[in-house]
Amino acid sequence: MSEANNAHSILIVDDEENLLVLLDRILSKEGYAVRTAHDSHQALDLIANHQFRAAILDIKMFPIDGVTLLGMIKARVPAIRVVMITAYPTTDTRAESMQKGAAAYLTKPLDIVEFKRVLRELTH
Amino acid sequence: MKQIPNQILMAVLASIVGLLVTNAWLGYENIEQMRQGSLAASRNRSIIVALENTISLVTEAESGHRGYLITGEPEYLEPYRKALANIDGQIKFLEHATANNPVQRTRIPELKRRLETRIQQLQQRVEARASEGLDAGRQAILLNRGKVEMDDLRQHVAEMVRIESEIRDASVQRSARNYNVALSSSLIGDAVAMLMVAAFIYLLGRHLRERKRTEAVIHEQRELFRTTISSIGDAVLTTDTDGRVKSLNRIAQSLTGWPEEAALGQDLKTVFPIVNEQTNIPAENPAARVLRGGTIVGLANHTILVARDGRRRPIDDSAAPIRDASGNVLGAVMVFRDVSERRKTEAAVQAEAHTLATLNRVGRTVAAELDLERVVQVVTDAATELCGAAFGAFFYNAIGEKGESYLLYALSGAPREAFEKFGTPRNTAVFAPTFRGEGLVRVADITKDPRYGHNWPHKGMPEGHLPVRSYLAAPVVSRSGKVIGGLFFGHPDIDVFTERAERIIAGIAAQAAIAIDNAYVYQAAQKEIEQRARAEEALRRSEDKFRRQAEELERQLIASGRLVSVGEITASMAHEFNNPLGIILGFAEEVRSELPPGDHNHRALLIIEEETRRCQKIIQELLQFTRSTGPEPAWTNIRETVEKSLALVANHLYKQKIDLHMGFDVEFPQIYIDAKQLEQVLVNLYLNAIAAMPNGGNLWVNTKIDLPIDGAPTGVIEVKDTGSGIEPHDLPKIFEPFFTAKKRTGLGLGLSVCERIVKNHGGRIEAASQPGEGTQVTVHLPVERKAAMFDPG
Repeated sequence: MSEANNAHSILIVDDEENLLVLLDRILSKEGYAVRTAHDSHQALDLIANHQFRAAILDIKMFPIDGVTLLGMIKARVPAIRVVMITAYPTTDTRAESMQKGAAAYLTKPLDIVEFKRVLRELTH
Repeated sequence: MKQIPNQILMAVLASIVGLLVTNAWLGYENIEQMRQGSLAASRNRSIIVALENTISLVTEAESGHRGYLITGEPEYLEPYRKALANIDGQIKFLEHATANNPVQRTRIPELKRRLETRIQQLQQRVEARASEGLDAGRQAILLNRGKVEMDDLRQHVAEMVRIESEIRDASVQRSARNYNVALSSSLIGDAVAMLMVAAFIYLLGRHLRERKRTEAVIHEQRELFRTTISSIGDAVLTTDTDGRVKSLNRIAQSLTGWPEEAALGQDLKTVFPIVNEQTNIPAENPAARVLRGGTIVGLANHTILVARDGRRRPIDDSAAPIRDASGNVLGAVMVFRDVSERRKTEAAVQAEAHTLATLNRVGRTVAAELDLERVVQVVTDAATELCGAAFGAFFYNAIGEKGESYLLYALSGAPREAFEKFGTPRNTAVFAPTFRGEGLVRVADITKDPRYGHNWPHKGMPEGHLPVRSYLAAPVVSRSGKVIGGLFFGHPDIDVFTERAERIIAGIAAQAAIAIDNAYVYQAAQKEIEQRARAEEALRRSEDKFRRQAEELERQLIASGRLVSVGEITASMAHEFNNPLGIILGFAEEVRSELPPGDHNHRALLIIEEETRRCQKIIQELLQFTRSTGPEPAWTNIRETVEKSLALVANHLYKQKIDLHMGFDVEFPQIYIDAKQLEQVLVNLYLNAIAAMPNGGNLWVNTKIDLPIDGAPTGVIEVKDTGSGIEPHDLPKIFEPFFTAKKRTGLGLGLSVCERIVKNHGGRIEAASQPGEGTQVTVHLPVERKAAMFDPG
């Protein structure tokens, strides 16, 4: 897919391979150019080589967790809009994510409709 | 106007004649009477004259005899004798004339006597004068003897005259009367007769006018009939009872080829020879059948009329007898028509029906067929047949494994080898419009077309190509507007393809496009199905795993009784399930959203979603059970809480036809309690009760204050049902975790959660049940609890 339209390029990072496939599918159908990474290293590689309008980060990842990755990505590409997703919402991670510049903080299992709406607003 | 019957006319005429005869007779009668009257009157007059004559004769005789007496001269005796001689004649006449009159007749002898007496006196005097001389005569005169007799005689005659006069007068009167009668009767009779003659003339005139009018109508109708028959669209022919032609109208003349003057009197078999269409055997003369049977006959179908000039025409007709008013058969009438045109139309309709049937078959096949190769072959064969082509080809784009498209083709009417060496048709001026989807191309002779023969190296058809002169091509365009391919038809003859063929091909091309679209969709669907199968497998494995772990956990929990300490493990494990379940649900929803609702996999995906949600619910339940957050109590109106909790299940109660009975103790105080948790407890209890009454029943919810003698007062909430009840051996286990009667819908933690909540509030929960009769669960809550007493546990 073309990257010319980088306003709609999205990076998804999650160690859950199947969730990546699902989100890739859903968002591609929505017209986004999607790239996926199953860990933070891969995500950083992609960030270095491609332009993204938005990133979706899982929090509970190993060895670098999503909140840390958020900080690293924001340091490299400040304009990127980041959506945090987690199955273990806590007040702490929420606060830290917001402080590090996340645009949204969503809970798994994802409400697909809500998820799509949030992304649409962020990449508008 | 109504026709006057002849009888009336005749009756009127007879009356007139009768009246005239009567009148004539009456007239005759009257005239006869008048004649009689007049005869009688003249007789009367004669009698009177005779009587008067008699008197004057006697007087004459007297004066004669007196002259003699005086003079003695005998010449004086001459009148005397003459008179006496005439008297006899008068008397004889009177005797005769009065023969019919008895009154006068009786007087005649007296008259005669008196006359004789007087005449005798005169005789005696004359004799006395002759013998005795003058003195005797003078003496007689002087003495005036015989005067008495004379007077008597005169009186008698006068009497007779008077009677006769009376008779005459009467007769005259009668005559006058008769005259009047005759006159009036004749006048009246004539007047009546004239009136009747006038009436007769009037009626006769009317009768004649009507007859004239009727004749005019008959004439007009006859003309109308004649014109109708001659101008009718069908041929009409009539025969007499011998089957000889009596008339035939213009159409009949034209169809048989016989002019009327030649046909008249001819035998029907000569003028109207018919044969069976299939066998050519002469068919039976219909008129003969009609005349024999006296019934209407429809000619057998498939009859051919052979005209005089030998032309053969299929006809359709019927024959019927002609009858007079009393039903006697006068002949036969045949109506027939040329059905050549209709036959042609029928043949055309049949051809059209065949076309439609083929189109329909194609439509059904391509709609049902998902195999692309089969679809294009059926389409190519049918199209080639229907448009009348010698051979046809369908070139179309197929999509390969990697989504690349390539050109394939199907052939009809020619072996594959006939095309194999040419490769695919190139985008030449002839083919381009079709591959660009620009519409149909129909050419009577392609070799004469300006687009033909411009492309190197062949400059037209390559060597060995099937001979094509007539050319027809149609693009096959998918719903999305993409050109899928093209249908091409050829024929070695010129101008074979009609406009109709063009329309049919257009229709088939449209159907082919749909079928190919469907086949593509089917290919895509096949891929989807594979993905779906993977998702289902993942779900199944995850469910298995979960069930095994839950079973293990249950065993461990029950065995160890360390429920709470295991809570943390359960919570984290339940949490771990949420993610894969979310992915499964996401995929299922995603795939389903791409299928039409009618797709049979749509339902399968719905089931996956439903079952996944059930798993999520179970996990929610598990999480709720292990949740460590303590109650958040507040002063709570129990009645409000109960009503609110009932509202949550109202729909269930309604659907399962369960009657609700509520009893509130007005004295029930507010209780310091977590309303949300109490609500959770009550809803759990209601749902259990509802599940126990699948076929309806009664649900009681009562609140009351329990004031035991030996303890603190408690608020009691009773939930009682008329459901299936609990077996006695199960009753002690119902508050244990993972005990469940609802095998498919729950984990068996509901009552366990209830018990924990109630215990957290310092209360207790107990159950009583009778299998088949129902269950009652009672919740006791301490009334005098304070926030400080809460166990944060």
